[in-house]
Amino acid sequence: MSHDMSNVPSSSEPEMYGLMAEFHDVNTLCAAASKVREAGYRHWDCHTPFPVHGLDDHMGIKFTKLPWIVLCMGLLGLGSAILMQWWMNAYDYPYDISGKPVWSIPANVPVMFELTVLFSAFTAFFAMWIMNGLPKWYNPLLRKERFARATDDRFFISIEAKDGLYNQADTTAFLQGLGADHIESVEEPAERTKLPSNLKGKLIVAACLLFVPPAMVYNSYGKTTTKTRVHLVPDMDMQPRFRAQGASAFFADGRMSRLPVEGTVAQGELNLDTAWHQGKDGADYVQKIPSVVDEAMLDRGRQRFGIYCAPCHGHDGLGQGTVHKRASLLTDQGHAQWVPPTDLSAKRILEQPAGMIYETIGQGRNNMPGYAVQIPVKDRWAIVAYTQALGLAQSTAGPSEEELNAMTPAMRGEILFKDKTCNVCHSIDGTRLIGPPLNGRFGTDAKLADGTSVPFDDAYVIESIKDPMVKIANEYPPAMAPLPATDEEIADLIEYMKTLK
Amino acid sequence: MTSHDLQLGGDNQAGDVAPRVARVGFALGVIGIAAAAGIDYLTGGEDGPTHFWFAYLVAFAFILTIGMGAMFFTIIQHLVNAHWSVTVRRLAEVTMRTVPMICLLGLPLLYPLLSHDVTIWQWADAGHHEVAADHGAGGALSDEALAHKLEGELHHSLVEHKGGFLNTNFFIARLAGYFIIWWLLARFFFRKSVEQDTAEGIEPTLRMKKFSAPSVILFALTLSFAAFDLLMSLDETWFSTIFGVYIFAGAFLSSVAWLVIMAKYLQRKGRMTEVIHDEHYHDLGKWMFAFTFFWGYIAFSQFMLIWFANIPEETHFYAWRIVPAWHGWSWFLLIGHFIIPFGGLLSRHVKRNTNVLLGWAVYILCVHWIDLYWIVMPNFHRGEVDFANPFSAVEVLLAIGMFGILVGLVAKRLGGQSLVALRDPLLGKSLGFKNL
Repeated sequence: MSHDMSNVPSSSEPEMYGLMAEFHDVNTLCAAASKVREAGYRHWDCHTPFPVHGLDDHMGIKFTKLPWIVLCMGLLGLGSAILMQWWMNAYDYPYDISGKPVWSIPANVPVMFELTVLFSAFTAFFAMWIMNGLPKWYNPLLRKERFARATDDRFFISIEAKDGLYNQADTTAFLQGLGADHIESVEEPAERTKLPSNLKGKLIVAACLLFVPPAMVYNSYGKTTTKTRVHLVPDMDMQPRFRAQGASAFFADGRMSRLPVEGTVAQGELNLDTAWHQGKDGADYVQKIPSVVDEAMLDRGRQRFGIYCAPCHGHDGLGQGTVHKRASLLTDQGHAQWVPPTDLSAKRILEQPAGMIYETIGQGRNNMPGYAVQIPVKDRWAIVAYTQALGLAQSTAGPSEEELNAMTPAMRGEILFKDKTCNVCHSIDGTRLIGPPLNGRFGTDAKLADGTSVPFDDAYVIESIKDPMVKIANEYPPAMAPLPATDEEIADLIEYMKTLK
Repeated sequence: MTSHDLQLGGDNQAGDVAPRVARVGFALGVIGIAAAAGIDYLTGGEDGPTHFWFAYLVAFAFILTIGMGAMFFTIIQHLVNAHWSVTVRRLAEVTMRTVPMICLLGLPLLYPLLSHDVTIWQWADAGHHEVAADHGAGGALSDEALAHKLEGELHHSLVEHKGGFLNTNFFIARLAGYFIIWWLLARFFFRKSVEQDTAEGIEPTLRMKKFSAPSVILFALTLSFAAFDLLMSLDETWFSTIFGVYIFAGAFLSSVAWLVIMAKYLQRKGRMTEVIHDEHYHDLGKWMFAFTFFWGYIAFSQFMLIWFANIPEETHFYAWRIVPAWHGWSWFLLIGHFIIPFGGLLSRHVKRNTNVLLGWAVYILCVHWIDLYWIVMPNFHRGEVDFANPFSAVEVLLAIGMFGILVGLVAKRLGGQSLVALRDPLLGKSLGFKNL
């Protein structure tokens, strides 16, 4: 500002801004402020180098309304946060997060808190600006040399000419009577520094340009294009490099990718021990775990089982893990379809060779995904050991060979129905599970998903067990996996089905 | 620039008020605690003694947290070079100085710790290792029995895992450590402040400033760990790292409320009338408001993480507190300890109306006691569903008794010296302090 002062263009008849009175101490200023207020002036102000306690009272400034405005806006922020989260999470796009209700207040509290603070803080800041008449680029007082001391050790009262009571001579006398050290009239400058030419036009153009990116986003929203993208930095986007499947003029065989030198094995890639790495000896599963099973291994297995298996199969291996419980709940409500996890104490699991369980853990089976990525080989075998121990501990001794032979086929079928875990998906009391109920079905017609019907007879049952995807029951998902069973066992199962009413 | 002997005006000695109040306080203390013990031991039946010691711990924690909050108040004013608070700081110092005596009231808690007849810290009971030992003797288990067995094993392994920390000897050693540290802190900051009253220079004040930073670290560590030991370990398998902060929030909140009550009482008795004015109450009110919110913030932080993670070894803390008998108390804490005082203390006019502020201070002391009651007492029933809330005259008598002892101890200390920190270099600024 200082260099401006010398360059103030002189003018013949300057317009009056008002009067400025200088005081040298706070007490005189406060007394003077009281007098100015009592005299009835409205367009006036005090200027001090530091906040003066009690000056507001002397000037008659009422306590600010700002707290009320902040309170209202804070509550608005709170309400907005609640509404926004309700709309997002519970109404427009309900999404299950950790099994919590889609509309749950505790999860919303952090955002409620943040928005309340955000609204309050912005309101306090911007409302204070507006209420104080900011931003104010310019004030004629700043052109007065003496006024610089308002930021140091002098106190000022300014009365503006636009005030109804203002009269150059009377007001000057009035201020003198209040004990002012110095009184000076302040003129409006005849000519203000010009704004850069066509500033408004430029600002409007700039504002319009701001709308271009959102307009482009809007224009391409949900559209596809056949044009290739623009490469701004082609060197980085398209670097010269060898591609695995590319051709090469350099190597004799014309291929870019090279095979390892004959007879070498990359580090950590030696897995010739198929029994250990694949659970197979030739084409057959290994029957026993190809390692010493000790307590440490079982303990490791228990721990890994708790991490990777228990969520679905349950800590007891009975197939009642928390994921299963939650999924069953959702299935009951019609939100999902779910194939229950296998009961690891079922006879068919106990009879499985160790290599097969190992393969199941690594590669997955039916609906179970493979865990080869998450669980290292040694830990997979530890889980196999623990699973077998768990299954044995949970299972009860079944009937002996002689007892089975003495039974009727239907009785054996009943035992098989549970041992083969048919009961997990098929009810015998008409309840709808994953698959159709099997009571009272034999001898009737079975409706299929393609609209046709076939008789529910031996041939249909045998086919459904060995190759379940050929004929899909109407209104049921194609979820069944082929069941490993001998022809005798299937015959027993059919006899059992005949008895179900 | 020393503020030697400012003209303070008014009466700034406790005089005859102190011994009278002290007599009433100690009488209340003896009667309250004796009556509570009598009721529980004579008519409480089998659970009576256990109930008494739980309630005793609540009341002990109640006055200890007030004293510790005052200690933090004193130290933090030196640390940040605060000038507004100088006129009320002596009241906090006097309260702080009673902490060593309050700690002596904690010694009887060695009885439930060491005795086999009464157990409030389950981990200290030698018998706890037999939990669930009888289950699983062969044969298939029902789901319920299996769940019970697994829970018992989990409990057992957790308690065993914590055994290196939660054992009787180390526990007593730690408590002794906290008490000694608190005694040294209280003695140092009190003595130096009184020394300043008659000092020629400002040497004592400078020394307090110098030691305030390490003291605040010591304070934070000891208070957190004391909260873990005395209160959190009542539920031996539960853990929450924010628990120390939670207790600190309540402690500071209640001690500021206590300062307001003290100041108002002394002023009504014609003391310190020219020294403490609306501006100081306004700032005390701001602290009360801020720490009401801070308490809510911390309480909710603790709740939300546990609620969201939903891990059984953490959630049972809240599960125990939403059984029918505790459900209402839990809701009351949310509404009565947070929402109501938050709304009530929000306005500037409330903080500047000292009589209304006094009402809120009393209210906050009450809800602080309920907060501690809610933390401690559910450990008495440990998540059982069918029981009536144990709330009885015993708790109230103990709370009144202990509070009486706190009043007595403070009053006794008040008598010895000026009620104002005379010749404190910032006293002049404090007297002329104004909120913008």
